[in-house]
Amino acid sequence: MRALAPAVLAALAFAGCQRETRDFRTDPPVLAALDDVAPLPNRIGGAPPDVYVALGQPYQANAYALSEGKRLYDGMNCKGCHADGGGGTGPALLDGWWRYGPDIVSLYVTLRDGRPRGMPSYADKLNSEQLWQVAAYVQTIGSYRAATAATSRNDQMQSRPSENRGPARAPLTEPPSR
Amino acid sequence: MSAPAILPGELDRGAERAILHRQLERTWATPAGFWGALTTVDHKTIGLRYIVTAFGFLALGGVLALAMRWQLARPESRVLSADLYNQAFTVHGANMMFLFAVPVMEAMAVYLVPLMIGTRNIAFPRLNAFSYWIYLFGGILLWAAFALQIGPDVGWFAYVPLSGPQYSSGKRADIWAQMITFTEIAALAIAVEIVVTVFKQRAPGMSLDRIPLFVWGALVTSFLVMLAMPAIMIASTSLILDRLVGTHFFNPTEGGDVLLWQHLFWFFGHPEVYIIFLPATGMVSSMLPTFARRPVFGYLPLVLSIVAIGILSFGLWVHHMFTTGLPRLGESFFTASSMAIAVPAGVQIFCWLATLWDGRPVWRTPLLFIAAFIVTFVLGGLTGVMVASVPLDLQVHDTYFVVAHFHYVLIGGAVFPLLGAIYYWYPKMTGRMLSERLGRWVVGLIFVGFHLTFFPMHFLGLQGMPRRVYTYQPEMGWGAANLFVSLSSILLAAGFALFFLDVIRSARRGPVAGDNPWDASTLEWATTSPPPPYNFARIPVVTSANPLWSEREALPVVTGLRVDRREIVISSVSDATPQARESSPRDSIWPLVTAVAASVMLIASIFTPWAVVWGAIPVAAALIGWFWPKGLPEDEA
Amino acid sequence: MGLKAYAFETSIRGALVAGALLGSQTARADPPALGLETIGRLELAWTFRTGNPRGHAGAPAVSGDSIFVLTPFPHALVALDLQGHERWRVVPDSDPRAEGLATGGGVTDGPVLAGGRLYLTTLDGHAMAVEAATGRVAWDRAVASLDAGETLRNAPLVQGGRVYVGSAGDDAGARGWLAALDSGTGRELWRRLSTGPDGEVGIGPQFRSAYPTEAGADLGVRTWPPEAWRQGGGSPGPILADAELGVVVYGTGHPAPWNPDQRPGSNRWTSGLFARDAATGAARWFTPTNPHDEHAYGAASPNLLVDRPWRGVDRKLLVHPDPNGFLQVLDRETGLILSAKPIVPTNAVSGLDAGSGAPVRADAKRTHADTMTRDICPAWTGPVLAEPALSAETGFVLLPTSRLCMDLEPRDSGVIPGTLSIGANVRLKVPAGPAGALVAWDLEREAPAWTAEEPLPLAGGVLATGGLAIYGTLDGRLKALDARSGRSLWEYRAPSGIIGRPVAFTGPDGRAYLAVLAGVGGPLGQAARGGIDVRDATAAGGLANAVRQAAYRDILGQGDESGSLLVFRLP
Repeated sequence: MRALAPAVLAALAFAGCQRETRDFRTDPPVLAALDDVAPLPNRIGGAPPDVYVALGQPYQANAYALSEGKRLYDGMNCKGCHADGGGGTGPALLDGWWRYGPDIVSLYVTLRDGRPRGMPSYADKLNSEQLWQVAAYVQTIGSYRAATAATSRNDQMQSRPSENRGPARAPLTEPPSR
Repeated sequence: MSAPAILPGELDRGAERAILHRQLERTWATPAGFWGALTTVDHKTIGLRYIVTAFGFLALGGVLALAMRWQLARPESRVLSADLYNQAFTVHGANMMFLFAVPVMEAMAVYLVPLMIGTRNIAFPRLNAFSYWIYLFGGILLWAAFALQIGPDVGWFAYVPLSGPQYSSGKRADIWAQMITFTEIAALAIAVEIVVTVFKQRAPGMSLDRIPLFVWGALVTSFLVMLAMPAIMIASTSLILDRLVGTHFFNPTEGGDVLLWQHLFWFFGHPEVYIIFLPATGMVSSMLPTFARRPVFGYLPLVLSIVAIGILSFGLWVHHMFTTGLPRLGESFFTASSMAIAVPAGVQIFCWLATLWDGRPVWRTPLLFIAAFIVTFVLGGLTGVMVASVPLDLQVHDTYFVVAHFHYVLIGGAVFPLLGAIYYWYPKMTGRMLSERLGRWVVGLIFVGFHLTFFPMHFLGLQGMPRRVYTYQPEMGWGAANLFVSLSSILLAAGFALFFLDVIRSARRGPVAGDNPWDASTLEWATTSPPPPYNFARIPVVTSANPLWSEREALPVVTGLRVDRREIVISSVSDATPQARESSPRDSIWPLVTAVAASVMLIASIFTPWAVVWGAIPVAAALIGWFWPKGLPEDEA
Repeated sequence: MGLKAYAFETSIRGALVAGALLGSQTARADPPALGLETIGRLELAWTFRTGNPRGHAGAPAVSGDSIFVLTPFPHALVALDLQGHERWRVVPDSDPRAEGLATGGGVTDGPVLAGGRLYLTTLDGHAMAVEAATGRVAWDRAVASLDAGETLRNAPLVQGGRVYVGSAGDDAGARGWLAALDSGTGRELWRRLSTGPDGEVGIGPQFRSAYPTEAGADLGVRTWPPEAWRQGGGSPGPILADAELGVVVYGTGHPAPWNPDQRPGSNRWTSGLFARDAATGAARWFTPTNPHDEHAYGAASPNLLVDRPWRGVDRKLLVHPDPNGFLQVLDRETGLILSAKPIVPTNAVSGLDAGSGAPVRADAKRTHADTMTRDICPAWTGPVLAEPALSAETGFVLLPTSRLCMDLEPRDSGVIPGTLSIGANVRLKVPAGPAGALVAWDLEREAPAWTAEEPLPLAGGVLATGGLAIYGTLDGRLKALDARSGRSLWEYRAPSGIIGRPVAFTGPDGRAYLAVLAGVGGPLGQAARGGIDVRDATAAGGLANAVRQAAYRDILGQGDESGSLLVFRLP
């Protein structure tokens, strides 16, 4: 019992730090190492960089990183094609169907290198940290599960339930025709 | 209850004094031990807890202030990161306003008002206990969040859109908003208790013109709380809804309004300043006669100016928003009303000066604090008149000039009288005196340290240093002044450290005080120090505004209250003629249980709106337990 | 006609008996044409599945006993015989990047047949000529650059040995252009842009505008913030040619980006109508219809050339259903607006300023950055998306209209290559009442002669033949109305929504045929197919919001996974 309370507090502290840390300046070597993804030969899935794991996967569960990702999603014209996740010329992100899989590495590679059917490469526009932030945010759009951290609505036109309210609900058995 | 005013009671019919005390002790005392500590409804215990907790938060907030000063002492300093600095100034501001200033003033009222008006307990004592627990949990929420690096970082007034769902990610702003809910619930509970206590529980004969001025201050403050706090609760709840549920209260594209936040906030936020300031002026008015050795000069103007400030305080809020682009007429109106409030404030100052002028001042520590207060507050008031004018406000808005201004009025106007009040009432609360020698050091260090710290900030502000910057460049030329300010803040901190030292040391070792060490005139000094659980063995009858001076031999008293159950005298609102006997509730664990249930609900609702639905069930269960008849003697009436 | 028939009758009076004997055989040898009496007997002959799920706009081309279908991107040009058997198929190489730029569902128009060759444009920027008989590719030119955000959507116009091709890509911030290619070789003869200096736009001594606002040097630069014209949009809509006047006429698209506060000025030469010299491309006149376009309307709607008397004088008219909701009738020799009347409920524009021809905008529906303007009618898609038709028998202009409205919130947006810099949040809305209508517009009275209301907006072209108005709907109904009254005569339920234009022709066997492409898509049908999550109201240009509303909801998920060509025949 005596050991339990500090343990719980420590766990809380760790969880708290994890989802709310804000680093405004990432070290250049870390930035470089963050680009070290090892996708599978078909460029779907694969291993994240060692430093990403070492840092404790700092983007997917971090509210600040997700909100930065959302800001970049808006600023990098992602909305032009994917709207607010509902799709347009680009595929919907909200329905939880991923052409290249839901894996964060796939999303990172998609953003960095582009994909054949019109997805441009952002390698020369965003640094590795920003790419991770956008990838993590895009993943929350189509997430089926409530996450420990998610962004909320923007001060813009209401388009859909915000990420912290509406996990994807489309049935998984029926792929949308493309 | 239709019984005549004072019935012959069960026992108190000229019984032996010792028997009476023993009976009252048995009826009113809180059981010793841990369980008793959790269940007590004694306003003195709760008030003291409140005061100690609030001063604890003051110390924590002070540490943050020192950390910020350390960071700002040199340009481009790396002591605190930008993120931590944002959290630090937000938590410092929110802590000082919501966890220290307002609660400590209300806590002083919880402790002193029943004693000063001669009753045995505050009205709704269980609500009082509930209020403390809620306040405590709210404070823990804020500080635990800060310790976990999820402290709010949006400024103590959390303007949208910065605090809104788009720009404030995570749960930081939610922590702030829910902490507001906690403290406002606590404050509203106390406000209700104080109003009812003052209106209906005054000792027989204490008509409205005999009420001690601190009680007047607490009364008007309570009304301010009841009228102002709902605005901020609506604002913070709307903010949480925006952030959590995705409503659009503050989203202009979908019909919301960003300025709505500022209006709601400052409709609370400006009266808030007077919620802190009015009890402080009440303390000054109540302490001053004791040390001037004469009744206060201008009782009626003082009361009227307290009421006038209370009313005018609701017509000022827009002067915090001069830079938001309001209509010219609106700006002019609020400039005029902001300047108008200087009139009743000035009346008070002159009444105090006249009291001192005409009296034979005894320069003890409390009076030294009052002197420090008058000097500092007048300076803060003058800068207040300056920023009330739109052209100047446009220049100094969000600069260190404003920081200097509000520290002058808040520390000078509220903390100095409060520290004086602690020196003054400490003997009543503990039965022991604080050290006069250390007290003079405390006054000196705090007064000098304060002015050296905050006066240069006016110049920094005029030089253009914005508030809430975590650092600045060496080329700005603010380095020397900031270093001076930071070094001076050590002096100020030393003064506070000495104060805490004195308070802790004297609790055990201070000279024994006796019932009325200052030869003061108000009722709280008519009982022992510290007072017994039942406050007064027999309720005094008041014949003048300064009862202990006019009835130096023996106070007339009321008899006839029952001693086998908790009973208090109910009197009429204006003349305080006795009307009835009323029972007062016993100790109960339910306020704590309810506070825990409510806290769980409120904290969980940061994370999911469903917490309100499911969390309401334990709250309802706890409330049923609270109100379920227990078959106690008090239930009869 | 009556007189001739009488003469014929009397001259052969002597052979009456023989005629009576042969009567029934003659009727069989001369099958009936498609008309009011015969339409009820029309029946499906065969269908051909294209295997492409995208929206099938435009119409197939017909020559002799062949039907040519250009499927949506990635394209295939298929030649079929009149029994539905495939003769040959050309599959051009495709650049899949074009998908990302394909706004409005990425629909393209069908092939154009001229001189034994099929001319076509591909979404990924190629113009091609294919021998109709063999399927041999005569030439293939890359004329539009995907890197610059350009695609090709509209069918080319072939006229006088030249192939006119107009770019698309306003939403990607591409400068719109019109190019003329040599029809024999595909060599580019000239290219004129919609923004920029006069030399590039083709403004020269020939240019005479009916409106004084259009006079001045380099308006295509000076009416923009510095350098903004380089990403200015203004891509041509469907192109029409008047051989007699020697001009090509087309509307230009909306300026880019959508946010009007990012491009103060009148943004020439976007959102207006151009007439250019067919041989040189030099501009003859320009009439702005939505200068400083605040609602992404543009003016690139399909027009009609009509020669008829106007106020007692024979005139060459241009009928232009402007996206701002007004049907404008212009003199196509000068560009002067003769008439402008709303054809759908409008509130963004209250009328036209007589002096400048510019629309008078309602203050309440103007748009600004970061500000939401609600219920703007019509929506950015405009009232007429597909080809109207002139009914020869009645003189009515048959307009397939959409009555959608929108909420619009322009936001700042930069141009990033490979992305669409729309920079606006938009929700389309279905107003109370019917969302679409076939409007028979009486040019004489400047009012509708009749209106056939539809629960869904109309997104396909109209065919006027034999006194009939034939069109398809988004929920897959092919309808034939009496062009005089709007009375419904015939209806067929297709497997998918129709955004194509029906064509009627007579086969070598002398029988009357009707062909139409079914395959829902396009700016008003896109959300019926998968790939769009309508929970996001702004998806697919805001269409998702409309699709969530009552009348529209029924077409959700009804899109077939393949479009098809439906061929009907009179027995």
